[in-house]
Amino acid sequence: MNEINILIGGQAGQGLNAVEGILVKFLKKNNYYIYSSKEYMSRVRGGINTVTFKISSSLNCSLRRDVDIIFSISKGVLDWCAKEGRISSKTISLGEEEYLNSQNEIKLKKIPINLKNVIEELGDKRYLNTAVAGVISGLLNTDKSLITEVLQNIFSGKSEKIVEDNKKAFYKGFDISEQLSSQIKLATINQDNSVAHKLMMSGNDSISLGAIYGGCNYLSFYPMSPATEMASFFIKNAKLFGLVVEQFEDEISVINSAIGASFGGARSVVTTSGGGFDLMEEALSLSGMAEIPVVIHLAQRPGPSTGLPTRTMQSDFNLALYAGHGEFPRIILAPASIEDSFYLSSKAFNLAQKYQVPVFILTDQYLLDTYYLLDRNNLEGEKPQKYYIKADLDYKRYLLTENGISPFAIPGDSKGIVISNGNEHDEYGDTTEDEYYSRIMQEKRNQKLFSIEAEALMPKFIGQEKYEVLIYSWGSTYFVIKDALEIINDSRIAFVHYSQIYPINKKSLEYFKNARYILGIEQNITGQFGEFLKTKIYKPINRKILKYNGRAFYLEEIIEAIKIFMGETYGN
Amino acid sequence: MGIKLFQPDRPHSKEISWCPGCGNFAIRLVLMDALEELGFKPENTAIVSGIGQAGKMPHYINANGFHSLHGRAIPVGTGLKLANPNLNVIIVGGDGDMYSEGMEHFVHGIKRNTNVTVLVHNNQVYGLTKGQTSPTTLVGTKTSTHPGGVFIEPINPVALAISLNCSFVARTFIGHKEETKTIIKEAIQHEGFSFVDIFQPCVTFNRINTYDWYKEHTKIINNLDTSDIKKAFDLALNTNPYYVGIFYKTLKTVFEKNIEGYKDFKDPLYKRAVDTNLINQFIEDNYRL
Ligand SMILES: Cc1ncc(C[n+]2csc(CCOP(=O)(O)OP(=O)(O)O)c2C)c(N)n1
Ligand code: SF4
Ligand SMILES: [Mg+2]
Repeated sequence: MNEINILIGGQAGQGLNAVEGILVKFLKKNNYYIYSSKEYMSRVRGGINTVTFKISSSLNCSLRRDVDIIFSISKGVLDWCAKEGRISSKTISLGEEEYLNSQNEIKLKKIPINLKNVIEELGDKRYLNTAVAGVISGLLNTDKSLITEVLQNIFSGKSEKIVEDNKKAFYKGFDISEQLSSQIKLATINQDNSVAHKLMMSGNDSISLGAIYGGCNYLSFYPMSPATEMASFFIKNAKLFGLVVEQFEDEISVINSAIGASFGGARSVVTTSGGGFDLMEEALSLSGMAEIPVVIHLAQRPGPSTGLPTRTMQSDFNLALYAGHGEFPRIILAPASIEDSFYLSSKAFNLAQKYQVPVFILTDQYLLDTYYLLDRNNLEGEKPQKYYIKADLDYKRYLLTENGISPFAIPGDSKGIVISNGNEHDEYGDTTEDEYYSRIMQEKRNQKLFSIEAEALMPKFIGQEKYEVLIYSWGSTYFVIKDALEIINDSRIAFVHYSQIYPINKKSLEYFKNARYILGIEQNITGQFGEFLKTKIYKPINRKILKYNGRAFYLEEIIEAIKIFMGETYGN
Repeated sequence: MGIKLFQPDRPHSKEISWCPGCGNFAIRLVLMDALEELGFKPENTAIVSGIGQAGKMPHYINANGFHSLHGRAIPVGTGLKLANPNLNVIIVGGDGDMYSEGMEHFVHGIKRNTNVTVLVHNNQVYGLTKGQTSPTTLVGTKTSTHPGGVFIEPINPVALAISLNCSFVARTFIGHKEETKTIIKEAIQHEGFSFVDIFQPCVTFNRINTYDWYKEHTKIINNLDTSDIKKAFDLALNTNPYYVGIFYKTLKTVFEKNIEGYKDFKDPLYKRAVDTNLINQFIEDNYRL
């Protein structure tokens, strides 16, 4: 597939987001498929942050390592990209002359662009970002007049002059790069009219909107990357959708308040990351014991401890699986994609209510900060189901039932009262140490896991009926593996991807029986999910392809690693 | 005297596990009375408690109840109030619960100012865990933590609350039943975060702060202008005697009345339906670009 991979790098606070915002909208208007992904440092000013754009003629949702164009808007970008391994023999770099210097010798074509002078004419440094977007747009086959509408949209509510001046800046950049076309040969990308009907949405917005679609109406949080964005979305839209949002004093109060809200009938979510979740463990166990639903958006970043706050990892599967003392059922979902984020996020609330258990949505910085075009039809959620009854005067919050699920009632909704308890209890919810209840209540809670398991989502399977090598993965690595396999095009390889990682659907274990070799791909150092799978599949895992440097998998890396395995196993 | 409406009839609600003579019995009776006299119903009242002897309260009352975690009754009660502001939420805990494990919630609860009532059974000792030092144990008291006697100055929760401009601050001694009831009633009726520190003798582990000791060392506040924070603070700093009564009242912005989620929507959260059309429109408006 033809594609152009463009990286823009600069310091934090320089307005990379502004360039990204303009480009995404402009390129979409020009009917190109776009994919965009960010990586950034944990600082507010300085450092190097980068955005990678991919422009293609059809859907394309995986991160590519080698970039065709690097646009530097500050010093140090080329050195950074070289260390990150993003520069190939074909990479061309653009930017002000001084930003094209590097400390280390880097072999690549450099094309200086003088935008500073141009911008001085307009009298405001901020127009530089618009001009940069103009230069990049000029390299592609685009209709520059479409920028007017984009700028009107971005600066809606601002003066006509601001739109006009930005347009001038964009045109200046655009005109400069038209003159460069002889020096820069890029792949030809076909435009596609259907792009106009597509949506451009980030993983974060999809998770947030999916939750609201699923009836979520209470969010508590304490700021922590990369989980805060979901809270920001809720805050921005609290009035419109009638959402209660509060930043609490710490993560302990965050989850305890969410549990209190759920006790009162809210559909509550907490959004947090590793360290923040660590503080929530005791209350997770309370949710398990008191059988009060709560959804935990656990946005993963590398640990341990503060780790790399703004980077990506899949190292908290074990944390979600084993957190909390005592034994109680839970559900762990890990969206494969932006579309899947919407669906699973909405579904999480039904699952939490239906089984009265904690439900995790495990995302990561990569998924949350990535955008691509998607079909409106693929953004489907699960509508909220009503799982509560009216309490009568003899209501038993923990009524013993065959499947362990007791009808949930909400305080104040009827004449009966509701008693929840984190201590072991009888059916009414009153504390007791009676041997019968001490035993039967453990069984009742545990019993719920069987129903949960019975409706666990099947993983996605891609492959022929007969295959030799089975690759497994979970969460946000779906597209990069799928795309790699399409390129490798080897019918001996099949792929199974889990979006519900606990409990897993038992029928999916059949896939492993049929495989001669098993290959795992995860973004952590121990292959946590693979270790978990081993206890179910009773087979060795022949190789784990693991990445744990805080950067998302690149398409090239996956292709190379799979090819190496195939070469070693079957000969070249 | 009512104590019928809130008298529970559940199998495990009758055998109360407090020690005979414990001050908690009287607090329970006073609370049930206060609720009934104020005209509340069990179904629109919720008792949210932490862990400790005080934390057992929900089991001995006929009302909605949540016996949660040590130290966490305030956040749990806050979430409940935010989910359904129509509920009368009473948060109950011990001195260890509220002033040690949950101190951050006490401070921020005061700051957030949701309309809840916080009752702290202050027996100046850890009861349930058998007699350790609490944040309010007096210097010189011999505890299992400090067999030679506590030598660190205790926390003064009343002064602390006043210093934070808490919406309603009172201290009572449960030996004064009628006064305690009046104060609890006023605390419940007060709109905002109402805090009542209740001296509650622990007859098993606290041999210093007995009924007689409290009688001798407390003095009922007389003729105080409860809007004067400086006078209230001054009085609160007094430890010989300890003043009991309402120290301070102020009406402040109530959290749940001012959040976005309750501006255009008034229903408790569980009654809100998802408007799929609104979401669809939102998607059209924001993501087509
Ligand atoms: C997280 C946690 N730490 C410790 C405990 C053990 N614990 C239970 S009650 C309590 C203290 C009780 O003292 P207080 O809060 O004053 O209540 P009282 O029993 O005196 O009414 C402690 C430390 C616990 N349940 N949870
Ligand atoms: S230990 Fe103290 S506080 Fe606990 S029940 Fe006995 S007397 Fe009451
Ligand atoms: Mg105590």
